[in-house]
Amino acid sequence: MRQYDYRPEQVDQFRNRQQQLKQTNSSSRSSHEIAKSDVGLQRPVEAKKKGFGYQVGFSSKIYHSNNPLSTESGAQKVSAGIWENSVSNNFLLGAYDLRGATFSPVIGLSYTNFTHFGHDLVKEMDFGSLSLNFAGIFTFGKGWSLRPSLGYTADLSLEDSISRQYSQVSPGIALGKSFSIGKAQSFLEWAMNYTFTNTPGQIVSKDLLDRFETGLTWGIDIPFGDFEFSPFLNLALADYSNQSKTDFTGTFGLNLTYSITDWMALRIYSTLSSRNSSMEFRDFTRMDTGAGATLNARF
Amino acid sequence: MQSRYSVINWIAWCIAFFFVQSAFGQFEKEFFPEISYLAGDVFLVSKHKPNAQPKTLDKNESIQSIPPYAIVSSKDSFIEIDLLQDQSPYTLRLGQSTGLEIRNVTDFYLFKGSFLIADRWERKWAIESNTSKIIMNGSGTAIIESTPLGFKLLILEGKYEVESVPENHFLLSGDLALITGTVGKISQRIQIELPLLLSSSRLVNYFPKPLATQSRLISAAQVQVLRTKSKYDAFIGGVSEERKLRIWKIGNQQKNP
Repeated sequence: MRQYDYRPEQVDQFRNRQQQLKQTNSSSRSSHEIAKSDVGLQRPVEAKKKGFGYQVGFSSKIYHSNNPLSTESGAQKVSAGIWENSVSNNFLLGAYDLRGATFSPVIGLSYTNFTHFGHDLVKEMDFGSLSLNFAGIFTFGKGWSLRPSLGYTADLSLEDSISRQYSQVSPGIALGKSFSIGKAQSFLEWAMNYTFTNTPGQIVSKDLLDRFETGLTWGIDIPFGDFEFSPFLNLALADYSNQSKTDFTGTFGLNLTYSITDWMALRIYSTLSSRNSSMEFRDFTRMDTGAGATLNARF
Repeated sequence: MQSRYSVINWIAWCIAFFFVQSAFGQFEKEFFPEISYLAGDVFLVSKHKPNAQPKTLDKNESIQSIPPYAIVSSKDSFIEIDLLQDQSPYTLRLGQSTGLEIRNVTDFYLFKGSFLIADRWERKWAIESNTSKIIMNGSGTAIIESTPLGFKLLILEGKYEVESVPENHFLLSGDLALITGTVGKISQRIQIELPLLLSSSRLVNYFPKPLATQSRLISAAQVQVLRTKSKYDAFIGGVSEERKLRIWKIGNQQKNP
């Protein structure tokens, strides 16, 4: 039985959001290695009227997990390979100057397919995950940002006929701060959300996994040449509404990206996750290590 | 009866004194601006005393002269002046080798050089030179530079409506326009890369205190970054005597559009 409340693609979704924030945070005070004048350098640009934009991305990664079912121990704790393919679409619904802050509403629609291999136990675990997310990104001076969001995710079984295994609706809010350390860009984000769940196959209660979650994420992107090294740490606390359970999950990741072009990148990564639960047999430790490629196009 | 009249008279004088005092106090606040930063040699020349020696200005002093007067900065000299301290203040910054006559709080005559206005309140501005003039209404942060034919106007953030021409023109964040001729003819607008302008402008960065509109400058630049489709491999220079805007292609090739 897969743990629906541990979502490995969450880390990638977070990193995609950070990319979006990184773009909006491109500092107006960055230093340029060119001469200064009283008025300043005047480079003509062509700008859109409202800033509507569309980004489409494709990502494929293959990795080894020492615990793909995220279980504490026993026969279900097996090693296996996972091949993850995702298509993401982001619609930037304009960029608005609130005179002191900017507002950028973004709608994201993505589909990720998980294919398991390498062990008989995981072969029937294949599923697809469909996500629809709306976020309004407010960016303030000095790297501060506020991101209210509403997300919907549905996990679909790919066996025989497509059926919904699990779905969640998650309104949330996140407060972020980004810093520049030399050429590196670091960020800190504190997020809170409440997740309403529906697990059709759950016998006791379909909304057993309803929970309040709060998490702190720190990361740094260190560029060198065409490479970027990005370690991150996420600490999250989840309190379940319909069961007496509180989970603490820590995730530490290392990511090395090589940009071949503006729209194509290769990466290797490793993620270590550990959960400590107040309920018995819910703890787990999991390590995923793999490589992948991403294609991105902006319009 | 007479004593009653004298009391009324006395009260009337007190009220009159109060109003005159308040009006003068307001006048003092409006017309005695404070120098919040000064570097190098900056002088004040009063139009009321044209034969008097130029007064050397010092940091943190109030300008006690009654307008009109001119502020003149030497080479490598900069000055920042805060006007209307208590009500709706705005900041005026002069670049080096600049001569600006302040006729009243929002009415200027630019002899040469460049200056910046940073204002959070909507106001009507009149700027004149020996070749051109412009009247514009709005609020924001703008840089005005003298050219042989008039001014170069750059809107760093905010919105201004140019009222000196028959058809109303709106200038928005990132817009550059040339004002030429005695009627203040306005050119086609060109969008300028704001992050580059903000990081390279001495009128923005040379001064120790950030502008009161700093957060607005950053948000205008961020919005422009999100809206940018492409950047040209060129920089805009001055205006030639033949009324042409000089554009320098990266690679030092000059192009006159």
